[in-house]
Amino acid sequence: MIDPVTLAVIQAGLQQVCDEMDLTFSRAAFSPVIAEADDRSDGIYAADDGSLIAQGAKGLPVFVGVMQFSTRTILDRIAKGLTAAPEPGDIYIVNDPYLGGTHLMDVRFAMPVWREGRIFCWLSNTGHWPDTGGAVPGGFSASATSAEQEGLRLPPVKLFKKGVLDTEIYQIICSNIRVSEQRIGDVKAQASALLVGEKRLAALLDRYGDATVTEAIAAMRAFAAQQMRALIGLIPPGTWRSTAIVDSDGVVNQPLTIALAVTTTPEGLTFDFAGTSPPCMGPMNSVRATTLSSVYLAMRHIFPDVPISAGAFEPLTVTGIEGTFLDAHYPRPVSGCAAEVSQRIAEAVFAALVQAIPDRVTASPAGTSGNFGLGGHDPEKGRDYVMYQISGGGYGGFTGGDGIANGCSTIGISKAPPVEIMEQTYPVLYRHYALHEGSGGAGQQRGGLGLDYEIELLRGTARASFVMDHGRTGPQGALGGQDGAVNRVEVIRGGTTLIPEHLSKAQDITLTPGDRVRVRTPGGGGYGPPAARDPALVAEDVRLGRYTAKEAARLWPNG
Amino acid sequence: MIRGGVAPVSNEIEVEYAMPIHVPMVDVRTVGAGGGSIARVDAGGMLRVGPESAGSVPGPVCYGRGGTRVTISDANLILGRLPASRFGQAAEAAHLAMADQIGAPLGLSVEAAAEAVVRIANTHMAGAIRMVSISLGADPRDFALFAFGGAGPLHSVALARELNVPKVLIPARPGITNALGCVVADLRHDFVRTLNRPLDTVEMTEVHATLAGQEAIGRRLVSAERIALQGTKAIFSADMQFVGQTHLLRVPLATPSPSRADLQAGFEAAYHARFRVDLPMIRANLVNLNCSVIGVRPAFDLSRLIDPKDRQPKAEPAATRPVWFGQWVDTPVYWRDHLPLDLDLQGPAIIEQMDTTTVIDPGTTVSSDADGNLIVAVSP
Repeated sequence: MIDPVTLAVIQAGLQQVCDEMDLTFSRAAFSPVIAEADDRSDGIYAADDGSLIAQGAKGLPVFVGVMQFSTRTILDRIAKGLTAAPEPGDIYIVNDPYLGGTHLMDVRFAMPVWREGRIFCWLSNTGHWPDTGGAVPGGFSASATSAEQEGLRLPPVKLFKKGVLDTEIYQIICSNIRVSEQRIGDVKAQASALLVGEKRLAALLDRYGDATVTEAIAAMRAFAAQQMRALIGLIPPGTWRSTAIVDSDGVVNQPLTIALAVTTTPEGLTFDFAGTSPPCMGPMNSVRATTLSSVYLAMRHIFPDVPISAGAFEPLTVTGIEGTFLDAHYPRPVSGCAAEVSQRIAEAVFAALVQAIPDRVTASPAGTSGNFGLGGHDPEKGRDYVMYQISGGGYGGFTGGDGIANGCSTIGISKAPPVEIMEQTYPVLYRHYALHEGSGGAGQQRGGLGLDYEIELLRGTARASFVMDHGRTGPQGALGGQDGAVNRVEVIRGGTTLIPEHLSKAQDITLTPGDRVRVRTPGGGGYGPPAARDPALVAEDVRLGRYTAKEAARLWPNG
Repeated sequence: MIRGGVAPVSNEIEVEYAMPIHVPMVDVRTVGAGGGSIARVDAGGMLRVGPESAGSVPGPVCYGRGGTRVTISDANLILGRLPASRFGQAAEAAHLAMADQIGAPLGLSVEAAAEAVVRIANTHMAGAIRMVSISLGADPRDFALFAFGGAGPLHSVALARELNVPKVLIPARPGITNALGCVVADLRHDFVRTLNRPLDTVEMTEVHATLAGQEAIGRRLVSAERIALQGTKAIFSADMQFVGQTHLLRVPLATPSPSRADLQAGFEAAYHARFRVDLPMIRANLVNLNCSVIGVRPAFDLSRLIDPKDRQPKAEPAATRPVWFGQWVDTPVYWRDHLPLDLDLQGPAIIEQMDTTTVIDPGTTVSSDADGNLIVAVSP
């Protein structure tokens, strides 16, 4: 039995390896989505089954469980001879959503760590590339009906062979994606992060010994499972139900429903999605890996103490996703899975469990990444560009207070790219960037406010695409609280205002200089009955201009 | 992290919400672990230390101000690193709390529990130091650890061991380091001018004029101060990146009139040193030109921070007390002000002074330099 001190030290050491990989990746990256928005993640995975050993604290949460599925797929394919067996110095690349992935833009690298001729574990990372080809710049085609329209799909292949970049594979990739000349910088940054991790991990193994570290990894896994079970013990026995609504799939203008029943069992929790809508035509399908990861990340939001490890997921069982849009297969389009559907899944988990453990769960947060892609040609700089804007929204009210304003998405930790960087890099002007006033759902603790921004195209022509959500229904209130305000997109062209048919999703809207796009992101759901709110807080919100006096009088009649 | 005796200045310090403030500031990173950090056993049975803190009110249990949860300071007290005599009744309460909150759930003795708390705290601190050093591209093994603050010297030797830092430097007055800096630091004015253009399109005459202008204004401002100066110097640098990147890398410039080739070569070298990557196919971008003008104050005699009259010819312990280093060891306790400048001590030892307590672990040796800094040699 490993002593508790060595165990904690090794756990911190493995965490450090991941954090250092995260840091190297962001600092060296070219893609602003990686460098500024931290849309990437790095982790350590088991040699035998790819299960998660440790993951960087600054990685994007939606990747929390995903890379263990993609690593497992690589191991399976190697075993079956579908993918070439690894040699020292090899790094695999893969972005296939159906092989344990998310959407095509999330490109994974995986590298085995060798100790005395054997693989000790795998290091893997994911980075959101600004473009991987397909119908629209940035990859978020709101009207794609098959995977081919979404971009280039790579099965696991060796991009680096014995430490050397395979320029033939690299050229195939570059010929199929936009703005390819900078990708070499991101490819080298992504590989460099793994190499830094390998070096730090080797130092840890040299210091404590491979056998001790192996023992510690097993103990960490057992402890994480034990801790998750102890926390699940706080949930009163029973079944807790909820639904969450996706606006539409982008093609057929009908809502998609996620139906969830969370049941306590002696082993842990079962998440049953029976009754959820079938796979859809448009890109709002999810794949199995992303669906499971979304449940895991929702539980980690609720119990943030549990370390990110395969052990923490052991007590969680997901059923009923077969035949639904949460377990789509080739060639269903999936670009919305990582950024949007994942957040509706998390919302369903929050909405179910807030009833059971109201002290630990918030009303629903904005729950959309606000993906806005703009692609075009900048005549002043003489080059093509793909701009990708993500944005925050309001968080749900909770037992301790009002929701946070303009917080990052449920699945993200991303900072919105700074306005200054966007205006320097792309031919756009931000006319305003402000809080979405009046958007927080009423409640005893109100929801946080969303974001309200408007950009103007300054030069050249461009095409705008949106993949957002919560345009039809707002983030859910809880325990008597009201829903937050819906997401709104407006395109102002030559004095006319266009509202996309699918509200939160649209593709290829042509813009010319002077045209504007205004986006208002959702406010968070309210928590508890509005009548119970302290009138002084209502008055303060009015004084600060968060709500007009009229809005406040309507939302809080006794305020 | 100080290299070549120069405190680094960064314009990417994140103040809150991870938002960087692009204004030059001395690059100080703080670790969320201190004497008040609370230790606990979590629901899964793992020992955790921090980030929750008892602060100074209610403070650690041993302060006797109503704190009930054990902290790093309580662990240091239990291990004999802090003098129990100064804490009175509360020292006993700290023992009971440690046994109850950490020892019992983990099946450890009070001493082993306290040792575990200190080791975990050290691991966090060492990890943070490692992150800071590696984020700047440096290996902690090439450095000495400078211990300051009231609690720094309690942990510094153990931290140096953890980080493989070969040497620890403990200044004469660790507890008043910041105040001392206010009194003796050099004057400094920093200038930043943004160009943000590809290097091959920049007019070099504009670069030279900008840097010369920054230096001239800086020298004028420094000379207008009514403070005695030994001299004035100017330091130049450029912030660069590859076209398409957002993070910057600082490239030192030897003169205010570098050639285009100097800038390109300096950037490539700095980039390779940081990321081990060459990208000859991508153009370089010149983002900022920087100049720092420094008014150098006359040297300050550090050896006078401890009154030379108090120094004794030979190191004599003032007392002996048991201190836990894996087991109880009778450890000599010295009074810092009495130590001679030609010091040569073997650990274990405790060195006390008005503003801090220094723990010298077994297997290390302590000497002193002419300025009265203690230098602890940590064998790997």
